[in-house]
Amino acid sequence: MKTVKHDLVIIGGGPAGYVAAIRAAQLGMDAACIDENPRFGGTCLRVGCIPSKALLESSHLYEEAQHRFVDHGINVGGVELDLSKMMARKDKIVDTLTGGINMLLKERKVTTYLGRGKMRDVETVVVEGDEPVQIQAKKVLICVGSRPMSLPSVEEDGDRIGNSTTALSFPDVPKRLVVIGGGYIGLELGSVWNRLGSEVIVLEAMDRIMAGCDSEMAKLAHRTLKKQGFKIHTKTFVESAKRDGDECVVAIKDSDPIRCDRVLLSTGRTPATDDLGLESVGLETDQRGFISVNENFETSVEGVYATGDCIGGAMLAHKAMEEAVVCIERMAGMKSHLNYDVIPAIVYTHPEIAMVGKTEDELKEAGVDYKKGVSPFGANGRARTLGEADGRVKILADAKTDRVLGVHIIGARAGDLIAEAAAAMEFGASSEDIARTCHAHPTLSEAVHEAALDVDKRPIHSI
Amino acid sequence: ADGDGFVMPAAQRLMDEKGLTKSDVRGSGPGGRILKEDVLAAIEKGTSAP
Repeated sequence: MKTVKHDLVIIGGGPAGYVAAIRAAQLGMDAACIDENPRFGGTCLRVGCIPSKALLESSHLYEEAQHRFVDHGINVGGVELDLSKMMARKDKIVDTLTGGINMLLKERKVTTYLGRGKMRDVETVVVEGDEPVQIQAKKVLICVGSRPMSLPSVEEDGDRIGNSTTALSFPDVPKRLVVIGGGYIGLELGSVWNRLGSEVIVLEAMDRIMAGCDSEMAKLAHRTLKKQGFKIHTKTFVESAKRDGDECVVAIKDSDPIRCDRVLLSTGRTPATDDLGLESVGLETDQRGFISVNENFETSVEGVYATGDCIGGAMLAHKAMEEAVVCIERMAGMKSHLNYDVIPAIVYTHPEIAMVGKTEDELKEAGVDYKKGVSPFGANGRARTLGEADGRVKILADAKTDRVLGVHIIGARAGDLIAEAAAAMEFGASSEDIARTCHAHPTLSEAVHEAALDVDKRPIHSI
Repeated sequence: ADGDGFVMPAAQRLMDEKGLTKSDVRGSGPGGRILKEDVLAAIEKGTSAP
C-alpha cells in the first residue's frame, strides 16, 4: 500500500471536515481530507440541509400557486406538479454545490482521498477504497458526522419505510405519509409532502413537537401546521412499523394501527463513529457513540481531534463549521473562541421558526428574572405586502441589565431575521440597543425592532 | 479590560442622561465595550457611595 505524508488528515468531508481543510490550508498546513463519497459536502449538502431546502422552496411555490396567487389577483387556472422535474432541480443544486466544494478544496491545494478512512495508529489513517492508501500525519481530525437513527421496531426497507434520505427522493407523492418523530426533520419533510398533496400524520412520543424549541413557539407552530392539514398526535408511542405489500402498517400503543403507503422515521440522528478503528488508538466513545473532546477539540488521545455532529451538542451545520475553524486555528496557535450560547437554530417550515439564546422555559427553570417583548407580523407593513401576516418576534431580556438573553421568531424569513439577534447578542447588546438601531422601512426586520421596543412597553406600531 | 472605548447605543443614552463619561464606567462587553449594564452598575455604585 502506498504511504503518503501530510501535516493534518481529516476524516470526513462534511461542513466540519471541508471547512477545517480549507481553514488549515489558509493557515499554511498541508491538509488532506478523506470522504467516502466522490462529492464532498457531507450530509448537509448531499442528503440534508441543501436538498431539503430545495424541496421546501419548490413545494412552497406549488402551494402558493394553488392557493395564494389568487389573493394577488393572479389566476393561473390549473396548477400541475412535475415531481421528476422538481427532483431534478434539487439534484442539480446538490451537484452544483458539492462540485463547488470539490473545486474549493482543489484550489486551496487540499489533497482529497476517496474511501473510508480508518485509524491504524495515532499518526496513521488508512483509506479503504478503490485506491487504498496509508496517510501519516502528526494530527488527525475526525469529522465523521452523524446518520439517521434507526429503531429495531421500525423495519426500514429504504423504500416504503425509510429515513430522511429516502423521503428526499420519493418517486411519487404518497397518499398517506406517517412521520415518526415531531422534530425539525420530520416537520420539514412532512411539510414538503403535505404541500404536494400527501395526508401527513406525525406521531410524536412526547407531549409536544419540536423538543428544545421555545414552548410558546412550538405551540404556535403546532397550530399553524394543523391549519395546513398536518395531523399531529403527541404522546403517541409507535410500537412497530412494517411493510405489508404496497402498504405499511404502523402499530401504536393503546390505539388502532395506521395503514399508510410510506413511513418516514425521523426520531433523531446518531454519531457515525463506529467502524473507524478508534479502538486501535485507545479512543473510546460514550454510550451513544459520541467522542469527548476538550476545549481545543482534542480527544483523550494526543494529536487526535474531533468536531461536528460526532462530538455531540447541537447537530447543526454552522455549529460544526465554527468548531472546525476554532479547532484548526487553535492548532495553528491562534486563541480562537466559540460562543455556544449564541448559536442560532432554524426550522424551515412555513412559516419558519428561528431561535437564538435561551428559551423562556430555560429562563423560568433557572429562575432568571426576565422581561419579554413581543411583536406580531400582522403589525408589520412589509409582512402585509408579502401576504405573510402570521408570525411574531419574541425578545427575552434580563429584567435588571436589559441584556438580550434569547430571541425567538416564527414567521416568514425568520431564519434570515435571526442573524441580527445573534450579532446583537454576540456584542452583548441590550434590548434597548436593538431598539435604538435604525431598521430600514418597510422590512420584516422592523418586527425585531418593535419587539425590542416592546421589552420596555413602548412599541410604536402595536398597542 | 479597557477596550477601544466603544459605547453601545443604549449605554450612551444612559451615560448622557446621568452626566457620566467613559472614564466613569468600566466596559465589560466584547473588546471592552461599554454595555448598558455597565452604566447601570456605575450608577448604582455612585448612588450608594456616601
